[in-house]
Amino acid sequence: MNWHEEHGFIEDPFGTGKGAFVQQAVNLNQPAEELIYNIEAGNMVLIQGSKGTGKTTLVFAAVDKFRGERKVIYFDCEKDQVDIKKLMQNKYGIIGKVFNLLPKGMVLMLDNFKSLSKRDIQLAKYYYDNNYLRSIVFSGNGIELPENIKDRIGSRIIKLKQLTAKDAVELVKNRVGSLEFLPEKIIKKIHAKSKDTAEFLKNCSSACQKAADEGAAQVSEKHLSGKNE
Amino acid sequence: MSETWYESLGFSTNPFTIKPAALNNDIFGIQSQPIIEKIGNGETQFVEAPLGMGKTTLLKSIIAKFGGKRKLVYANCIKNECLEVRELLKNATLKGKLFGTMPREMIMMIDEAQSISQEDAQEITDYMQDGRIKSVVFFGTQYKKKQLTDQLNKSLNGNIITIPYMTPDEAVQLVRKRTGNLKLLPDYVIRELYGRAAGNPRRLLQHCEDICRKAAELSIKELTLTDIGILLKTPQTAFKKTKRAAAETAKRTRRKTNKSSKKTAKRSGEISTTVTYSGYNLDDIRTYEEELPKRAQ
Repeated sequence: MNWHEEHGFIEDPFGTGKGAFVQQAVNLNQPAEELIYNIEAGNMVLIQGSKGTGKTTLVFAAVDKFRGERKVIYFDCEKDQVDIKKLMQNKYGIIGKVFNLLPKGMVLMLDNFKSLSKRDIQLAKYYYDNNYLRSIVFSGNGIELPENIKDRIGSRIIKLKQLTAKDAVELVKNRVGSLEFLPEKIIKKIHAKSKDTAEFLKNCSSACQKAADEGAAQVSEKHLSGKNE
Repeated sequence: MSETWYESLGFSTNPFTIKPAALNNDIFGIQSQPIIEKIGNGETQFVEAPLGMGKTTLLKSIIAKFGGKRKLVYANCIKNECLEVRELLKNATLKGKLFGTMPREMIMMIDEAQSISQEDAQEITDYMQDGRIKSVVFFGTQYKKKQLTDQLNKSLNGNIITIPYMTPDEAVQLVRKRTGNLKLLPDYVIRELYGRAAGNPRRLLQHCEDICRKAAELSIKELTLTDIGILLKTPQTAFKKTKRAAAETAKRTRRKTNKSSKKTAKRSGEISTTVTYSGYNLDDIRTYEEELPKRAQ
């Protein structure tokens, strides 16, 4: 039996699905506000941060904000070849494709922009300049953006930092509710051992599973050591 | 989120948006009239300016003057893989669309001309010899002889236009046009911000937006020069960048223009760097204003 079912959760509270638990994100409140402001004001934004710091979660928080108006395009560039024109024409369905209609004032969010070609970036810039796109959000790291895009972004770069120990405790508290089963001391230990947020959550989950398997009342240090098996 | 700073000041949208010609077609710092006259004479021109100086805004204001006459074709070198000049000319008029006839004496505007391919340049020359195209205006960050054909280079002779720096007064006008008589931003603050932007209009607008946003958060009624120093912390890398960019433009203009403009170009490089470094000193702003390069006309 899974540990979370034993403790009354339907799903694993430490799940690391993309953009899962947007509301509970602790260290992203201020960046999310910044991002949403910049989208509303019509600026180009770049989100930077190493792996697992919550870039996608942040983008999803903004998608949530503008959902329901058919104004947001979210695209994960790693998944598929991006065709920005096609994405925009989808707003009007088949009619849009036949008559070549382009909507105005859309918001484009490009996740993992590393795999975008240079031409696609320039095309996005063209649509931005001509007001078809209200704002563009680039998320990811790796390659450098072309000079004219950088000039438009200016100082609007949101840098995501690694989770601090204090934030880690807060995060677990938000997700689980109480710290009875997983004490604060242990959380800080797990945090010190893991490299990024995603790994931290995974380690939390496995430690809890181990404790539940043994029937212990609390997660203790011995449950941490054997997690490499 | 609650209302943004511009909503609390009474604007419905962000007044400092950096999109070209977003609010109106007005341009400051360069007159579009000489360019339009040269188009009328059938001359080829190349407008050259660094990023964010207002190339596309100028282009859009020229297009607005020719609007509705079906005489002008606009092409963007980046948007299309090849320009397809033939298709563009055909689709410009109704007759061409229906019967496939080619119009005569068209005006062609080409944006982002720094990435034009040689085949496209060849095609344009061919149509120019046929008399289908009367005049071409290129807009790009840098003019390279190699990219264009010999004939285009020949007809371009002397018609390379650089967009000059705005004077601080024009910068004030630009901001006033967008904000009206906003009390938060006094004129001398705009001048100082323009100095910090090293003469770049896009950077000026970005600075204005940043500072107004912060001021509205702190509910400041009227900005002063000391506020700028505290609120607008430009990172060290930006300093270096503006210094390098200024040096590069100074070098480029020195290469091309004759002796008389040599001095002004050299000076413009110096000034923009000194102003960004020296911070908020009224004396410095005055010297900047006096020594600003005169318009190349």
